[in-house]
Amino acid sequence: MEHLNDPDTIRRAKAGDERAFGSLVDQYHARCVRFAQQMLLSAEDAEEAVQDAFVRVYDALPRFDVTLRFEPWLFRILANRCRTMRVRRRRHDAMVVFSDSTPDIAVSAQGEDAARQELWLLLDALPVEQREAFLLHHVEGMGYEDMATVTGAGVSALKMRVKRACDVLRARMLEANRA
Amino acid sequence: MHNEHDFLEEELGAVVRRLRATPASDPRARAAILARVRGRRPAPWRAALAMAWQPSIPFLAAASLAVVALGAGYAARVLVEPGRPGPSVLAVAEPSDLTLVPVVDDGRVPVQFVLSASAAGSVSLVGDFNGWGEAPAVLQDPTRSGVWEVTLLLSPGRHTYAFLVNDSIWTIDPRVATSADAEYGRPSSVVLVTK
Repeated sequence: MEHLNDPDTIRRAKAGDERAFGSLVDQYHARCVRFAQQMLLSAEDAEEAVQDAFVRVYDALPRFDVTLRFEPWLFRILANRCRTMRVRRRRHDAMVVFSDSTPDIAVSAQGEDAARQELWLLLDALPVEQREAFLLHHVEGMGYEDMATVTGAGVSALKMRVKRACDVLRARMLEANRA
Repeated sequence: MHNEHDFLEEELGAVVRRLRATPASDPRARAAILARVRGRRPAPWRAALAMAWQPSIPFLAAASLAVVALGAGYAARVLVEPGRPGPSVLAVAEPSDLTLVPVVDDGRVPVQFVLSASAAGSVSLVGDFNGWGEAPAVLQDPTRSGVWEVTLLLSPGRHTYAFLVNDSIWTIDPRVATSADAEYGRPSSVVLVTK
């Protein structure tokens, strides 16, 4: 996992230094976008979730305990925004009768980023909790203690989610290989 | 069997490597974040003042009661006067001014939202101020007259919102202007909160 090596930046951001907060955004934005895209399987929703998450981080920074690790705290806020975004999208999809906003995953199979779509389809096979645990561990490189901070779940439950996610993905790949 | 196992581990490893590819960070998206947070923190002198003057819990309780009382009084004045809603599911209440006088010192202003919906089983309020349903405000119909209301403390500025009737029917406020920048492609209502 990538660590922020400059706790002073966090202290300055906590004190209201917008340039320091800008440094945090620069450092973490791409990873946050990656995580949000792979959780939501939508670039548009991911951008909104990341933006909302950083605004909430900014608002909550004065209460952040600088003796704690910043990254799990940031990802906890981001993961919560992703969950909220999923709820909103479900509600939206349920209410809009004539919708022209189809999720990215369904419309761009012939688009330029076919490789990304292929990955997203694979992730779409995972239940959300398993996907979250799999991404945090294998993609974001987090240890289980930090994952527990992010998700609020226990370590043993998270290990089980990661294992089951790997099992689902293996089954999918085996199925594709045999087809 | 062993080959199949190796194949799957290799495939899984390849998927993880591809997932780890970091998308390009759009500088416009980062700029949008910084634009949203600019000026959100209180100025240093306000923060110092807040630190120096910590209102007591009884004071906060009294202030809260004052807000509630003011909202209730306003509701009585605005809502009792209009005639009973018509037979339609979403009958329209009389137009009224949504802005109240500020009574709290954090800059927020109590704003009352009213919807006349005689056949509704529940009405909630979603808007940009509560994440469009992240924590929807539930409207009450204490007199069972079909007039639902709730009063919220909102920051001054332009807010967009809609009512959610029976948790499923998206309903704009018939008393106020409709937003052109519709959320989710649906219309929403606009309230301008001023101090």
